[in-house]
Amino acid sequence: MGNFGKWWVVARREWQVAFQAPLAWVLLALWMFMGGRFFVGSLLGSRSTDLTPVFWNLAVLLIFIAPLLTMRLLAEERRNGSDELILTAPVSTGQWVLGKYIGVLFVWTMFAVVSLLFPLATSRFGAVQWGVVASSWLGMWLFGAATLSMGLFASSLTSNQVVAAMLSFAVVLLFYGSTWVPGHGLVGQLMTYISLPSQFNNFTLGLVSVSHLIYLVSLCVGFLFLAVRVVDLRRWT
Amino acid sequence: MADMDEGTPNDQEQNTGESAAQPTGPRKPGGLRGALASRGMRWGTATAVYVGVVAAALIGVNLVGAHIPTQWDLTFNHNLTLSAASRNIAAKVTHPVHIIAFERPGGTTGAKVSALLQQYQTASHGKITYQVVDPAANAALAVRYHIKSYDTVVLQSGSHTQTVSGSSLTTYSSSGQPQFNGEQPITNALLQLASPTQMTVDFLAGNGEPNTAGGQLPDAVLALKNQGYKVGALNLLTSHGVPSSVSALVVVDPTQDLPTSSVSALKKYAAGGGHLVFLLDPSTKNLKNLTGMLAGWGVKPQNDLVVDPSHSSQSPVFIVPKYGSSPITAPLQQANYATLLLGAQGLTLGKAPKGYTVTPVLTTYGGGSSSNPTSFGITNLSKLQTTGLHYTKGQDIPGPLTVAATVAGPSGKAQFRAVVIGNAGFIASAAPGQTQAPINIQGNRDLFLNSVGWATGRSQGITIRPRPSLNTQVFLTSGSTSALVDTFVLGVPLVCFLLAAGAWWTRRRL
Repeated sequence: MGNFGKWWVVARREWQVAFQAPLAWVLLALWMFMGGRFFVGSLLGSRSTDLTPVFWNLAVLLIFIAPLLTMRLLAEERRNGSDELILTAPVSTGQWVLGKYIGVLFVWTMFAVVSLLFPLATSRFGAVQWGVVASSWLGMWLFGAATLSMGLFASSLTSNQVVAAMLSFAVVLLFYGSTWVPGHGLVGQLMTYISLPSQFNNFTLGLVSVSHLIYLVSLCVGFLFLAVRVVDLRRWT
Repeated sequence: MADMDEGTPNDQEQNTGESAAQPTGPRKPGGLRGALASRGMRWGTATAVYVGVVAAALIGVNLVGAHIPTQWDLTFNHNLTLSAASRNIAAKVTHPVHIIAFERPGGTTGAKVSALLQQYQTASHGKITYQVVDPAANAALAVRYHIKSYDTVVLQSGSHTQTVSGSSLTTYSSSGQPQFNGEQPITNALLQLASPTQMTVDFLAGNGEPNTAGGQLPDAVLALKNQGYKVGALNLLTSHGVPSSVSALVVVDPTQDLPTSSVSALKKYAAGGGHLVFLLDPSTKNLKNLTGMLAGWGVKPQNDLVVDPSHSSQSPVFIVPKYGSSPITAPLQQANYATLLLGAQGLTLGKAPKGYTVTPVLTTYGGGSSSNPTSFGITNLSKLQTTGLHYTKGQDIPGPLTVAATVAGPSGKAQFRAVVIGNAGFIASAAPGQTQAPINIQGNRDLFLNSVGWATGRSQGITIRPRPSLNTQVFLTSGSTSALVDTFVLGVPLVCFLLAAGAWWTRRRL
């Protein structure tokens, strides 16, 4: 079995486990309930097919949903001691963590796909800017991918799922609200740059920038790398 | 990521023969040396090094990536991508220009302004720089530039400043939908910085023309203002002549003939190198003074209704003329924008006065037979209702017909320039119930602005304007609102909860 097969097995198992448990469905129900309220409110309020506020609110909800989706991933394995089995399994830590991440990414992708019901329904009542919908959706998906990687990293730090969720929430909030702290000059620019909303904003306008893609993918890579190092460090110390 | 462990200390240790099965064995006491040599310390150090290297690599990638201007504009009509004209103007900036956008953090308009400013900076090869500032957090800067509201953009070049107000960044469709239109005022402000003298364009009033001072033709007036013109209205009966400060006078479809005194004033203005733009629909009234004046310059309105069934949209009188060789239409032709004129009249091009040049700008298509020409002008407007849009040989005028022309001359410093277009409706705003304003159709706005730009001699004004946004208005009935609530607030979440219950029940039974 090649490298692809190894992490794929982990990912597939993670995805199946997620949907065999009620949590993912409950989160999807809450997400769509809140999204539905925003959606109807937006249509009635603005009388416009512009779904920018809806995608914004869906992304903001991820601050709360991503920690709950990821809290179990590595913390539960550690609590059960099943992570020790990785030592003897023919899979590297990187493949294992990547598999976990891809698994939860599938779950999130399903959430995101369901959210396309909003623009589809809107198109019945007026002209939809599908290009803007596509870029907003891509931005939201990347926003989710980044927050999930933060959650996975938080889950690698502890064996307690509740603590993992709180840590994850804190990390996501740090990147979400970096501009809440007033900063000038280079610090201000840095805070704006690392801010998830400022990176997400252009997507909702219909602009897909190479720089924003690079940043969000970098976040994913960075936190996945940290998660791998934490698991490795714990295993060998 | 699958290869993330390649070359890790784990592999190195296995290569050196250390057993992975004894990772947590008791450490022999050996002081600092022993501690440093311990597996934990080595792993900690290695991890710190790895994290540092990867962090540095990611920061480096982002530093490079932040300067990559490549982006894809997926908006309708590419509304957030600078037009070629704006890029050209930015590229021609000779002195450094610094733009400060005072924006609300996280605001949509601010993000759109930023997206445009980045492109101005790139197009100017660094001559234009910009910063986005929260006026609440930078009160000193806000006070210095007298900022009173968000979304204000200040352009500064040396001691000159131009301010673009937030209200001019957004226009409203006929249905009241806000549409971001920031490129026009910002580009205009750049032009103003380059030539600080503001030109005045007046609309002639007092002869049954649309009352622009009273709010008629709002889109045309705004389009001119966004080009940096000062726009006003001029009644020749009260002003006793065209003031020398008027860069161009626009005459839009007078329903009454011009008094002889007004014609004399216009001729005097023309003789002094004045600039005139005539937009004239066919009329059942005899406007002999106006027609006579234009005929004297070599362009006589035919007072017919142009019909072109083969080159029209929706109706044979909603014609799509072809472009002549003129700087007014050259950018439109280049950008492949059509102009659509509803109910135009033809123009007979006669002999121009000595030293003057008459040039056709828009013409209908020729061809067809003598009894059934491709395009023609119906001359009997009063009997149009009964005769219909059919060609009557010997009475109607066969095509090709000129529907727009320019007159210029004599050559010299104070050159008279006039544009005559046999249609006025193309600059109209949307009528109630109309989904799109005629001025916003294809290249109509450009035709108008380019005509004024050519007349005033402002060559940089001959540009393609940004396109309007898609009409995104939604019409919801109470029934459709209920259906949306039932589906998205109740239905979809309920299905998910049922699936959650199913998952819980299945696990409970296992």
